[in-house]
Amino acid sequence: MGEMPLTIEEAAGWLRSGKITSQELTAALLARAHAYQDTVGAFITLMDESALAEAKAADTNFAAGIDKGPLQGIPIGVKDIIATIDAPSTANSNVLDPAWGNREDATVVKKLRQAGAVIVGKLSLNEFAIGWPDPTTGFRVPRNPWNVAHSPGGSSSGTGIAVALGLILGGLGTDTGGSIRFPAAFCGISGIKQTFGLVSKEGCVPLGYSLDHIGPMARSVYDCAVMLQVLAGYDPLDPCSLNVAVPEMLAGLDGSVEGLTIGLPIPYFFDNPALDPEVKAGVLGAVDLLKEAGAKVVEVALSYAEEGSIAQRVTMFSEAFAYHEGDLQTKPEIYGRYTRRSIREAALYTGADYVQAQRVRSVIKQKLAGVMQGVDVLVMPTAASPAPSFADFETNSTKDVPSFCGLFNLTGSPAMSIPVGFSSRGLPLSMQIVGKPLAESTVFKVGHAYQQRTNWHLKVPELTVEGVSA
Amino acid sequence: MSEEMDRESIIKAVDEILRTHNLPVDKEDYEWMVNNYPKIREMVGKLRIPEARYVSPALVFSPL
Repeated sequence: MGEMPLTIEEAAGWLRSGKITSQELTAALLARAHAYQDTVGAFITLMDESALAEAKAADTNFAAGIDKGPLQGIPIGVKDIIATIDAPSTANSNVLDPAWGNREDATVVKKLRQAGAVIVGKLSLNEFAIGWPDPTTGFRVPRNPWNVAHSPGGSSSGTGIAVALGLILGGLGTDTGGSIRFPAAFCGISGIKQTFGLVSKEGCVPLGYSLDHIGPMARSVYDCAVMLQVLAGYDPLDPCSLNVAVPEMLAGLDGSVEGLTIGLPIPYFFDNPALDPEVKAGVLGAVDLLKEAGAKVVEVALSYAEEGSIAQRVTMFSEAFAYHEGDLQTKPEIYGRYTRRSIREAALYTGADYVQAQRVRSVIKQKLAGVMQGVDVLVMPTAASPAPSFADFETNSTKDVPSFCGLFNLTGSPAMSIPVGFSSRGLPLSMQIVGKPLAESTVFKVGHAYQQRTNWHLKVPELTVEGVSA
Repeated sequence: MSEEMDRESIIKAVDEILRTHNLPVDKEDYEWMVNNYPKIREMVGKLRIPEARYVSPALVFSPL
């Protein structure tokens, strides 16, 4: 297998210069995806036939001088909780009625296809985008490409794995409490959940109605910005869709952070006893680099961060329980253990708890707006530790691990994860950049400036299977 | 709260919740619920912050 482009940006250049065709690129990545499947389980369905047909159409368009933009001819994957007309949607569950997927493409998939992207497959996830893999369900357990004994993060596990290994150049994830940002962090790639409502979630199996986002995951910040530009826009089919002008995602990608102020929220995010010292050092090192590049850095405090994280949890599980209650009554044994246990936690809440969570949501939104008045972005760790091992999970409850992501689903803020180095055990470290509503371009600007000065995002796992290496 | 609840009252509360919601659970999941019920009630208790006392809930949600 010859050299392949690492990023959408690079591939777009190759496709236009004639260095490679979309059919050659797609066939090569499909072969690689098949080769890695038993080792990392990135995909639930690989769509060779339709993908190669789409690649051929992209090449025909290039030859005819038709260029639909930077995603034309680019192999992209879709998390298997988002509907596609030409492949089943499972949500990684035996519970989901197969008839659910008998429909046309989700809005986001339509947008990708209209932009000329090549959909190569449906990607693995945690069942219904929650919980932890349960091998007894019959679905493959997705594994971290940097160390297969570790979790790739969830719930958009397959997207993180496939981008990291170069099986796709970009993919769709979903994020209700960190499900784009955790796998991006644990697999060493970039991923953003944008402002709530900016991207339609029509055609996606819901988890938490008021927290769900569909968003892009790719190797670089630039690639995420390119994808988000295509995905964003008002959709009357999504009741949460924002009817606003779509920001110019690439507007600020000039490598500069001069004049920008970065806020470091110390309480809860940096002084948390659960925070791994290597993660903390990695994030603070990245902040130092941005400071050297001209950014101003100030310490801030976001009040009620812990309570906000609890409010996100109560909201997510309550809304999920409303969706799943009937199936949990009639066929709980068909769910994976960790999924049914997570969702059923909401039965232990009261109606007043849910409403109280929404009152805390009002408070935290106000507190965050106040903090953001003095800064352009907040920077903090994405996760408290590098990817946990599967063995550790059996003894440690994830409930005791603080979440630095869910709070920003509660507030609806744009939040991106990018890699900032590796732990002493060779696992990726990551930071989260949080912006003001609809200020994705500022988040991208900061992340892109960092990636102009580092190459962590370009590292590829050295995972060899049957003679194939990424 | 966890110190205030004895096992008997926890079991009574969990049994009532499962009956009300008509939720069948296996033995392992039942034990998980009983063991975690006090922790979860303690957790949601933290949502009763004074500053939210007269705040309206964000039920009509907008990030703007």
